[in-house]
Amino acid sequence: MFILVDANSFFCHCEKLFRPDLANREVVVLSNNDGCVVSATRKVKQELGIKTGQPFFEIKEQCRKNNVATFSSNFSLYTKISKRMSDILKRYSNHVEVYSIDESFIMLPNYTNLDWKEFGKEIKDEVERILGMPVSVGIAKTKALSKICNHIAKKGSGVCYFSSDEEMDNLFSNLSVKEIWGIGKASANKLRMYGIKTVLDFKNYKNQNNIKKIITKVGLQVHQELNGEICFSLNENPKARKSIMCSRTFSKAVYDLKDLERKVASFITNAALKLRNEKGKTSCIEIFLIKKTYQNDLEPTDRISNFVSKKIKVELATNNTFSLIRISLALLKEIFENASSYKKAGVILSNISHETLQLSLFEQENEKEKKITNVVDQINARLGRDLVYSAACLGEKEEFYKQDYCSPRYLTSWDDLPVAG
Amino acid sequence: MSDTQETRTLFGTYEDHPFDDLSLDNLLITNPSSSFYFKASGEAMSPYIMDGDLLLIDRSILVTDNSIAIIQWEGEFLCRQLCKNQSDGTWIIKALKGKSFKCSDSNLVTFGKVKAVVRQCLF
Repeated sequence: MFILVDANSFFCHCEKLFRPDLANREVVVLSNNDGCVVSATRKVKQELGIKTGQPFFEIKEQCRKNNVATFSSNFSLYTKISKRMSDILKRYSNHVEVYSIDESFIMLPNYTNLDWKEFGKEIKDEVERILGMPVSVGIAKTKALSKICNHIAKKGSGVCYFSSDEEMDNLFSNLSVKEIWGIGKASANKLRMYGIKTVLDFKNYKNQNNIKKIITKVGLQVHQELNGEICFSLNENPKARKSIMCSRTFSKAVYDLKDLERKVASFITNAALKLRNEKGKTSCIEIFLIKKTYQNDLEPTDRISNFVSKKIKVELATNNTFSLIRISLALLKEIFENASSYKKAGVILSNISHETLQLSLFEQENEKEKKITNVVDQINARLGRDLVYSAACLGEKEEFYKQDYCSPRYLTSWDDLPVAG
Repeated sequence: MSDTQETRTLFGTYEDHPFDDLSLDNLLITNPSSSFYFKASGEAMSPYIMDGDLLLIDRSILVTDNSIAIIQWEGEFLCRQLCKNQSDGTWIIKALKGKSFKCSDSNLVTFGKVKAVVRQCLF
């Protein structure tokens, strides 16, 4: 049996946990750089019509008028609460897959005499009691079914389990095919041409070859899952990443090479830290730039010409920040054009290997830089991220993000603890 | 003297007795996912809890009669002793210094029970 536990407006409720004054207020959380809405409480979406992804400048006045509390994203808080949530769920089963920051699958044997609805409610109440986090629980025989059950739970009592197929089919007949896991707008339109409009239509559609043709093999697997056949097993140990990307859209266009160098060095510093945390080394470094244009509707060919990138494969795989900065800045110089303005830049580290690599005959890792990187990592882990960094990023780290509405680091800084009078 | 030297001179007894050092975390934080830290402000609970004390809260422990707990009151967190009024079932939110007040069961929103108080000795 698969149990999908998904938090409702996760980021918003993380912010509300330490703010009793927000108990009856609506909340929105903005993306990095305070660009657009990434999470909003239910009433904000339903009554004010604010959508996830909407730019902040469009809704700023509306939020102020309606007394909606606004927050910049505070990922150190969200990841800590997410970890706590998965730890609570691990008490119910040894088999838990953390699917994303706010949702996890739990797998349990198909106990026939367990009241699954009651069990789901117990999980819901426990997460809510410990973390103040409202969650929805969908329980079914397969992952795809539990995903739909979770969707139904979100709109109803918070827990959904169908004890009979008739009860399930009855509800599925009123649910659009778009609500199925992995079926987006485009696939739903294609399916509609074959007369498949509801989840039940899709579940009962007999011609499997047709499904494969319309929405590929994964679509067929989802179809089999809706009919109770497990195709997606629990993935408890996610595979190591194949690449690490760090990129940003700038708040203002950048013209200057020195400015761009600082930004790229800062991206590489972040990506290299992630790489070292995963104990990996990269042998392929790519940097890309996107030019700023002043037209709204660009032809696809123009879009391609606005994107410039360059990659290099190095013989000796590394995770050393200093050598990665050197390589990426050399690449940047090659693709930078003096008369252009840039709106976005990024770095991608790929060909990541996690085993001990064969040493190169001609190149050797710089032992001194390796030691410095180790010491810098230790200082930053103990005293705060970005306390020590390469001078190549000087002036950049301080203004990395625009975060005008960031909440305190309640769980990660002694200086920011919540106060009780 | 390095660890290895010490171990050698003690005839390998370190390996035979691999006990961890004492840790306040291990003693007090029995349930990490439900433990939170707060900072106390004001003298309402002195001398039990002083201004600036660090409070360890465990949300998994049930708040019962006479517990010292963090509650949410009028948009703020308060640290108080909760005493059940047996005659009418209401709660008396008790401050050791200053005013206590009454609260019905339905209006009481607790954050969690204070499990430990940490005070740094500054003298």
